[in-house]
Amino acid sequence: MQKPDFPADEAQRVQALRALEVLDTLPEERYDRLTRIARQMFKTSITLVSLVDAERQWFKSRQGLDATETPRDISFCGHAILENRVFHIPDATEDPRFADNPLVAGAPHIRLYAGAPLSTADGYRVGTLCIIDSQPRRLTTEELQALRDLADCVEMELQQAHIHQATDTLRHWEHYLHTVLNTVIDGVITIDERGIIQSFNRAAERIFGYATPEVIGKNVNMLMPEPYHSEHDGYLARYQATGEARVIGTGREVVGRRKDGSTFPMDLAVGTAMLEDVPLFTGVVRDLSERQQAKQQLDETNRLRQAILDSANVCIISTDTEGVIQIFNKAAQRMLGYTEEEVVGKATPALIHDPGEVAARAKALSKELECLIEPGFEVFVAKSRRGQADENEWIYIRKDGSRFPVLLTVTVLRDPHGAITGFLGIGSDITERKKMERMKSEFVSTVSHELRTPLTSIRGALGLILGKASAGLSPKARQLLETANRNSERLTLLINDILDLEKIESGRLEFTFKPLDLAMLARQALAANEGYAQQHAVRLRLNEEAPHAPVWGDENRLLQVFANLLSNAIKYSPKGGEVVVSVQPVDTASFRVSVKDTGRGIPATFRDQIFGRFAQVDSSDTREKGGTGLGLSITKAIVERHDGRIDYHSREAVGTEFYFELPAWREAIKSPHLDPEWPRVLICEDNSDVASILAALLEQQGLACDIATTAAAAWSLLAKTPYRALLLDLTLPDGDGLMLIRQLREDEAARDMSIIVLSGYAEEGRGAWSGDALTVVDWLRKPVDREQLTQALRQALRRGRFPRILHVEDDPDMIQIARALIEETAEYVFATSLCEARQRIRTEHFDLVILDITLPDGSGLSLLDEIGGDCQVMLFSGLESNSELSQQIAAVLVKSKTSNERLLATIKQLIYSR
Amino acid sequence: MTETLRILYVDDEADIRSIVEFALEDEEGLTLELCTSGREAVAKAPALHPDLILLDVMMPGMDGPTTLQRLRAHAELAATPVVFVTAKVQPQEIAHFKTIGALDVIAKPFDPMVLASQIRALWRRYRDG
Repeated sequence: MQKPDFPADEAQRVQALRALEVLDTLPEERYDRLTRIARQMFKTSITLVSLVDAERQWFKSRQGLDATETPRDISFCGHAILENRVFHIPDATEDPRFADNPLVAGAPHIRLYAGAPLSTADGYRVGTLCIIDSQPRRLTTEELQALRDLADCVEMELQQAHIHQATDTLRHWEHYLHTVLNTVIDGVITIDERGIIQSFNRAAERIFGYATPEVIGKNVNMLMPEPYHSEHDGYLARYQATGEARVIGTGREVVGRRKDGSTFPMDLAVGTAMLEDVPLFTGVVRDLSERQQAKQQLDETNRLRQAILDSANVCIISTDTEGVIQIFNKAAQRMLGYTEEEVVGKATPALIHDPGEVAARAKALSKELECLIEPGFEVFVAKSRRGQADENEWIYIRKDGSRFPVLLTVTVLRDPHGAITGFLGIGSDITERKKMERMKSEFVSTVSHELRTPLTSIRGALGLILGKASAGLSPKARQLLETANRNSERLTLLINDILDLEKIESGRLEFTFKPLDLAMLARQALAANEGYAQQHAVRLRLNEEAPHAPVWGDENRLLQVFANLLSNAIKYSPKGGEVVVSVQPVDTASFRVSVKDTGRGIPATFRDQIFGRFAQVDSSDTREKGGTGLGLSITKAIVERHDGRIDYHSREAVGTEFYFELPAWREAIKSPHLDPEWPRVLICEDNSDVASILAALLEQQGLACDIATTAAAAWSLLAKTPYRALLLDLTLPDGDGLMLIRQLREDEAARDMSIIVLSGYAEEGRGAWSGDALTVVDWLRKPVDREQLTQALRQALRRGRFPRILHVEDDPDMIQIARALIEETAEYVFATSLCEARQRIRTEHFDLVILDITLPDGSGLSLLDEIGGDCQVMLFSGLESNSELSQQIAAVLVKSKTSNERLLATIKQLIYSR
Repeated sequence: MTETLRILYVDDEADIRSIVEFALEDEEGLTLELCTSGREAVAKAPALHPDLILLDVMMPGMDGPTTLQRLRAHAELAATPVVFVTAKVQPQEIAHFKTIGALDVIAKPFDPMVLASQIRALWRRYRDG
């Protein structure tokens, strides 16, 4: 058997065959009918359209054969494509090339084979139309020609394969485009250069109310009302003449006309393209009716909002999240004197607030919210940001500097997702209200004082009659006088209570807080009320469960609380009864004082009113028991001012127990930060509020802070823990801070600890203390400025590795130069006079003193005697040196002859040589 | 025989002066002089040599604190204990009176039957302390 050869152009041939994209496609009628005709014509058992691929022959159409392909090397067609003419084998058994071919020897037992080559348009022979039969037969010339003719038909079909595919694709895309056009929500209309409508999609039908056939071929201006209708042709004419496109582009809002004549706003975007040199315009229209309605509604809402803003008689100010003012309504402009232009987008509410008030509020808020609130915009929004109601009295400052009080409510503004977009503050002028309040409080105070004067006479007179002149009175008259006397006493108490209550309400009741022992106060209170108890034949007993109960409180006010609860308990106890007072810890954080009687109890229905004013269970109580009905109300207010709470348990006919709880005052609070990397600082400050604010401030800067509220507590903490620095308040409940410093400096371990003194009278303290050779890093005046504190601490913490230099110099330029030069190397402190220098030398530690000789108040040399031996001295002045100067002087430099480099080098040498 | 305590009481209210007068009239060892204004007290006191002066606070013309200040200007009265008798008895008011030199405060309205004892107790405290 001879395998077929490959044609010379085999590679291109296979490429051309594959480019036809016919291989492995489904059977097609246009080929099958030709193979059927061939089979009929030549009466052969098999006819095929065979395509000769690289390794196989594949049958695009086949009659009388099941196989779809056979290997190329046993194929007859592989031979047939080698020549142009019809390849004719009358009897394969007699042809040595095919006699032993499996297709000859076995099924389908080929004897006759005739194959006419099929060529592509480029002339590549890619296959054959062939006829096969199992009987040998020689075809006539006419038959061979007929086979060739039929093969030409197949060739034609093959060459048209591409055209068929292109048509299919085109049909597919047309369908796709049509679907897209009819699904878009925008109307799409195409027109030609004369304005004649070429296409009109479904959305356009919906928008304009026309069916497509009604508009195709008509002028597009039918979709426009006047004046657009008439102008449109002009546009197109101009475009054709000049190429200037008036309407090309996006975002034009025009008016459209529906079939029913109604008009509507629409957005029109027009694109243009050249289609075979003819311009085609595509218009995309969007009906804006709904959007415009929504906009109208929004405009209306905005106008309403503006009207509300303009007519409101309260300051309405909104800000963005950073605090920059966005809205500043008319009332705000009127009341504050700023115009909208001056503040909107430019200023923050700081403009109209008192910085002092903001700082005070920051402090109070820090305590209330238990986190540090910086004095700034956050003060106004901290609460509303946390979802809490925020209504506060503030002082607003007008542009002219005058002030007025407002009640400010702050609300947070959020977007639909809940993110904060800004803040809204509504402030109402409460000048009048404040005035009324002040008048009321003055009135109450005056009236009370005025009432006391006649009352003094009445009570005095009644007291004298009953005490001295009652011998001749009838029992009846005596009884009446006693009634008068008792009521004058009651009136006195009432006036006192009203005064107290008024002061509590107006916030003018002053409290003097200090550390107190509740147990001791209880003992004091019991002693003071012993007499009253005896009058009522009631025993008082103290049940002391907490021998020490330290709290932070006002002694007199707490005694008032005790007195009130005790007198109530005594009054309502039966004769011979017992009132038990106990002081006990509730948990580690608070103490409870309870006053328990065995009286008749308080009806449950009275619970809501018990702490209200003029509250007594029974109006007859007033006569029988005395009292004003204001006591518990005052008591509650006092307890609450101590951050405490008051309540009671009662069972009718069994007794009542009133109790109040106050937060425990702790001498020492250890910071929860145990990370040894955090430098530890001790804060010694008796006001625990101030201490915790300081601690919060420092912990933000990576310092762990322990708190001691007494000198004793400070000592015990200092003994146990090494601290990098001590923040010390000078006034402590158990001794002054100076004493603590002296003790510390005598202590081996704590001698070198950095101390920062906090004092309400820093300057005075510093002066009074100059005699002591004790050193502190800094004195800070209370209230402590955050910046100063940070600065001082930074100094304190780097002490030990950072030398300190005092420059005594009166020339400000020189100071500037020296500071810039030295700051990196050492801590630079300067004094501009002898007096100032002396002060510093006495109270602070320096490693080097740089002395100018001529100073406003004398010669710098006069300081030499006061500078300690452990401190280097360098002269740096305008005078030439005198070598006879003291041995104490380590270096002498002359200003005019010393470069900056030399100065620094000398300083470094001095401080590092130590 | 106990020593006699000379008291000067200064008040513009006639009624209250009478009450004080009645309250103290039968008291052993107490003598009472009355003045109706601060001015009168400043004029008369040096001659009266009182052991203890009781001063009303709110008086027209010259109030209690001013009167106290004027009395102190007299050498012979510079150390005489002065007690305010007043309705102004808030803790900080009492503290204020003490800082300007008052020995103590007796609250109005007072109980006339214990006024003498109160005065004696104050006097003893002053004398002993």
